[in-house]
Amino acid sequence: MTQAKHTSRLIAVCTGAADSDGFKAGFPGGETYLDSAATLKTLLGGGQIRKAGLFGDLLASSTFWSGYKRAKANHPELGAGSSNADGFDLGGVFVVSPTSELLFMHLEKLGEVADTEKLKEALATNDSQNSSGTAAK
Amino acid sequence: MMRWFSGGAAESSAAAVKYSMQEFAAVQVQALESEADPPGPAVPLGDLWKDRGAVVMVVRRPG
Repeated sequence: MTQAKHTSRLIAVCTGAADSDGFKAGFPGGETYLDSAATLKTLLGGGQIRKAGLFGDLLASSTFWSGYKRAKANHPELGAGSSNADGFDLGGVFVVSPTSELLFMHLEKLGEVADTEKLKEALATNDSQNSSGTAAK
Repeated sequence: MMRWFSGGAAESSAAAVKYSMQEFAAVQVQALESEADPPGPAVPLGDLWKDRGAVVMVVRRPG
């Protein structure tokens, strides 16, 4: 199986002590950045950091636990990872073009993952913008 | 009551998010090259995507 090569950068933004080495081992070519004031998470939450709810996200979501165990089993190189940090803060993923156009947005909810097909579409859109020279220099 | 337990307030605020890319771009972040090294100087997040775009993962903790 071949993987498509995309032109966009892969950036992880975290708010605390970072397992940056583990991230880079799991995502070669990825970059890690620290947002110690949690400004980005606050923006994503519309002015406050979104938190995982006790019933809505943890107890009622068996998919979260099964997904968590599967991820730990499949990626032992990622180490302790998110299990011992700011675990109730919810993040997200977004794709931005060089012209600051928001191409894709997923707000994290435990037990759910981003729509990978839409994510790929956003990456392809970004690739086409880069190849056509739309990017701001 | 159930709304409180299920994190309803947070969900409502999430729905009200206004995706102002100018605000996103202005967030100051510091590069983490390695766990052994101190964070780099602060740079605006927008500088990271201005050349070729970016997938930005806002994580609880990388890994």
